Amino acid sequence: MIRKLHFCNYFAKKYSIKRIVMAACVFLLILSIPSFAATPSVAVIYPELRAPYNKIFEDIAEGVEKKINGRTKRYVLPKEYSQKDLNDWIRKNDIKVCVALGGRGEKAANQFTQDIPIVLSGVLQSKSITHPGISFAASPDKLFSTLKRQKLNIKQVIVVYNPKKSEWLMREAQSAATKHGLELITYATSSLSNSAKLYREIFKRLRIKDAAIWLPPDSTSIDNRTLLSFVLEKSWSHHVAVFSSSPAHVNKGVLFAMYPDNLKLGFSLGAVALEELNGGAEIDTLIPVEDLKTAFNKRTAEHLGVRFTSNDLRKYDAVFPSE
Amino acid sequence: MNHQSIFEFKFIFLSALLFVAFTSIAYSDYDEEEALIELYGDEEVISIATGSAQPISRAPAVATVITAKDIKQMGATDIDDALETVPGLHVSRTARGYLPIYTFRGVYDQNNPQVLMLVNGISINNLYVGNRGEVWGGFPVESISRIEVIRGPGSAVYGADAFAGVINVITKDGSEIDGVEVGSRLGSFDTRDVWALYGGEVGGFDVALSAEFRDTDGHDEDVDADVATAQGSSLAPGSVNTATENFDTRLTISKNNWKFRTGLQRRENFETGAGVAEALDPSGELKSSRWNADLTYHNPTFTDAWDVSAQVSYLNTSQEVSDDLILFPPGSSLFIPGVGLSPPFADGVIGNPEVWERHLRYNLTGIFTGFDSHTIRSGIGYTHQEIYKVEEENNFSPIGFGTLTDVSDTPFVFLPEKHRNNSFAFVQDVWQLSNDWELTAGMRYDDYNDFGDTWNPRLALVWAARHDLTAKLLYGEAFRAPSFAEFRNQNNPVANGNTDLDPEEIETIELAFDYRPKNNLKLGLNLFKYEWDDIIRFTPDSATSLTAQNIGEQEGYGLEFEADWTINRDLSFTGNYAYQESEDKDLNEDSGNAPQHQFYVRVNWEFIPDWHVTPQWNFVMDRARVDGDARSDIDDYDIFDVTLRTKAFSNRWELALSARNLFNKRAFESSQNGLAGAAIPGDLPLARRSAWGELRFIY
Repeated sequence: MIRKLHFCNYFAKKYSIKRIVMAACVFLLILSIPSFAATPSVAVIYPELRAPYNKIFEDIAEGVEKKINGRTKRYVLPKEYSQKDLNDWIRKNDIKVCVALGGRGEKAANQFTQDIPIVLSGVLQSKSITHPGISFAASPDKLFSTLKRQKLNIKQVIVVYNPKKSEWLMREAQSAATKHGLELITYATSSLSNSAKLYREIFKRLRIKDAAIWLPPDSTSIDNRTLLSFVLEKSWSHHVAVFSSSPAHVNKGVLFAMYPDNLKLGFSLGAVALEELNGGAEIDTLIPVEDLKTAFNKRTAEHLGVRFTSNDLRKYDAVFPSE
Repeated sequence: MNHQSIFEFKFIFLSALLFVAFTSIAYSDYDEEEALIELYGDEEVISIATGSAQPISRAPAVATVITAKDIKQMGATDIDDALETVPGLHVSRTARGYLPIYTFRGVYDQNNPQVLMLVNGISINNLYVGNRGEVWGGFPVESISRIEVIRGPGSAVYGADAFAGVINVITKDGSEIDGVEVGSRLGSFDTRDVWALYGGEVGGFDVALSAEFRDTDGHDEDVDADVATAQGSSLAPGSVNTATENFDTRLTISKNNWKFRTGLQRRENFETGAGVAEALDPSGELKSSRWNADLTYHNPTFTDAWDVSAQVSYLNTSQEVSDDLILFPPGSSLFIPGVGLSPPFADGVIGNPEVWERHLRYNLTGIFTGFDSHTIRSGIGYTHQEIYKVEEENNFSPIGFGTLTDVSDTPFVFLPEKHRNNSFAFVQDVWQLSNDWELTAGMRYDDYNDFGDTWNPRLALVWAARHDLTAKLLYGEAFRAPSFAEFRNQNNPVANGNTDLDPEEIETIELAFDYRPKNNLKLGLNLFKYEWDDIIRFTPDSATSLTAQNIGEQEGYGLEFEADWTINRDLSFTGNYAYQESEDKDLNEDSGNAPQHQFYVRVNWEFIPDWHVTPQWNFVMDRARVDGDARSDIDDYDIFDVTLRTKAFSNRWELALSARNLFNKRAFESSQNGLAGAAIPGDLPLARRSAWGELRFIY
């Protein structure tokens, strides 16, 4: 007790009561700044999905929150959501920008009664091209640079794509191919059966020793069952590298895939949302995602003659096959 | 219902299930998010891709992985339920405590020391009997992330007891639980399970905490006769006693390269099954504590070329008696070697053996990748195992014959307090011979203070034959250290230890194919042949007693076929068939006890959104008797279970209902044959129809 009094006396001498009160006032003032600033809110709306798929959108939402420093609100859309409730929620919370994720998010955002900027993600293509956003389709530039790193002496990239869905991505791919010294050979398709024919032709006729096949994220170009099996079988026997945007493909035998790093993607979306708050985003349409993770198939790489060390493998986010 | 009509009913039920599943159109218009699911793939891949799970490393071995999802689907509430689904592994039972006998490929032993059980890579095998402990009580499943089961030898990597197979239980870490889960399950036999899991980040540390409680009366199927029947003192016909009260808790704290884990598995009121000495004992009860702790450092980038891990671990385990064990019921006499038949014991023959042991392990492992086309894994380690306390009360020792007497610390106790030290070193090279060929060659040296040293090699040649086909040729040798019961048993009226024992040895050659003809279909075929030498058996050394000796030889061969088929997003199928022939070389007779044929099938069907029904059907067939057992072969059995699980009412609440042995089949595991025939001639009955309901809340 005596020691405590001594301590208090010492404390009172060193820091006068007046100073302490002033410091406390300044501290309280700092704390209250956000409430004075009337910070505009950013909403992140995304579909309710079951585990573990829900983690995709939750990670993106977390990334947005981290970038915008907590000035966000989440709204999870169940399968049967009420547009009216959502519109009321947007109005009540004074939402100034909405980050809409997934097809359901985009659909809901397009039916807002409030005219607020929308930043789109969690989709491969946009149904409307009026919103800025970041697609789930991996940046061709990043894909091609990963391909070049495999030291397979690739000169051509062959892709079967649906113009209705992926024309915008092919434009990006064309300039990325030029940048990396690759020749991009595109085949337009309109259906899976048409794609099957095209892949058969590709394997039959083309001189593909120095070519790689790119499977775009497009369900008319490739399906995850019959056609993928065919492409994997032929590419194995022809020693052709195949790459894609789907970790599921890598699990089946594709050499590598690049897919969104959802937390970092959220960061980038947060940055676009902040631009919207400050007068308008630099981008005005959907762009491919550059925040990517890479999955790698060790077995396929060994077959193709790719040499790698454990250190190289550590650079990949997921290494298959898992047995 | 007669057998035929039940079979028809089951056939129709399953056929209807498959027909409806095949012909059902999509029950809901999947929205655009389904495209994302297409992009990411199945749940395993997405868990890996989003960073919440690690791919399981490719080991050149014949292995099965049972995930937490599989465990939930099949309705397993104990590890044995899950292990029974592994091809080539059958979970049999002993009379004492109804302990599990994990029988891999025909390698059957009442004490089951030929199987190494690991929790997070650390052995929980006991020194005393060589199994997981005489007071087992099961292993709850809610804290399990996955179970990795290696069939075949693993001594070149794991050392002693990785002989017929290795069971490695990996527990959940914080990121896998990610929040709070609480749950409760109520079921037949007055079974109550309650659990709570927590996972998350606390002060920068990844923390996982689990607590699981089980209280069950166990099933009470009857045995008609037991070892005391001949004396007229038996309590049979009477029910087996399979109650137990379990408490399991685990804590994992990890940060960067460091991981600390600790756990307690407490067993109370553990009953004696069909009796410790195969005489029904409704009053005897045991208890046990299994404490474990380890500190592990793992740095995958110690240097550019070195991945280094170091571990120190501690295990303390006990076998304690809480209520006197009545080895033979009141009115029984005991045959005393050299004396003859004793007068009847008014209170029965009582023996309360208690054992406490501790294990301390150190190991250092490095993986070097500095050479082109080679990955070299090497390590050293030291293990100190000690039976540090032995206590016993009985009423049949010479110093207090007829009266319950404490014989602890006297020459008349059943086991001396002794220790065992083991030093080891191993090296393994994975050599990429060419683009599609990989050779793994490994060798481990173990030195023991009590029975000498042993070298165990392994070779694995892996060929990526096609994009969808991998072939593996595997060769391995393994050893099983003599348990202290075999080495040092004393004052036992029937089974004496022998300090001149050598370890058991096994040589195994396997050919394994992994074939994935379609993206949604995975097939596996494994062919194996083994030679098991120096089998330790308690062998007659006089007319009345047995001594442990390296005396047996067994050869076996067989195959396992597995199929996993994801028919569509709502329907998947898992099945396997295992065949084995094992022969006792001394007798040129079937080794007996283990099933020659096993067949298992499971279907998981999401018949409406968020409603899963999982029927499974397990057949155990053709179990021969051992040589000299006059009984006719034990009946085959097939058991049908079905589990219903839903999250339809809320994402946070999960409800499950399960019926086990739905068709109320009578099923038995083989009782052992003794010098004077089988003590329990009618075999060991398994549980009849039962059910449970479960509710869990996930936040």
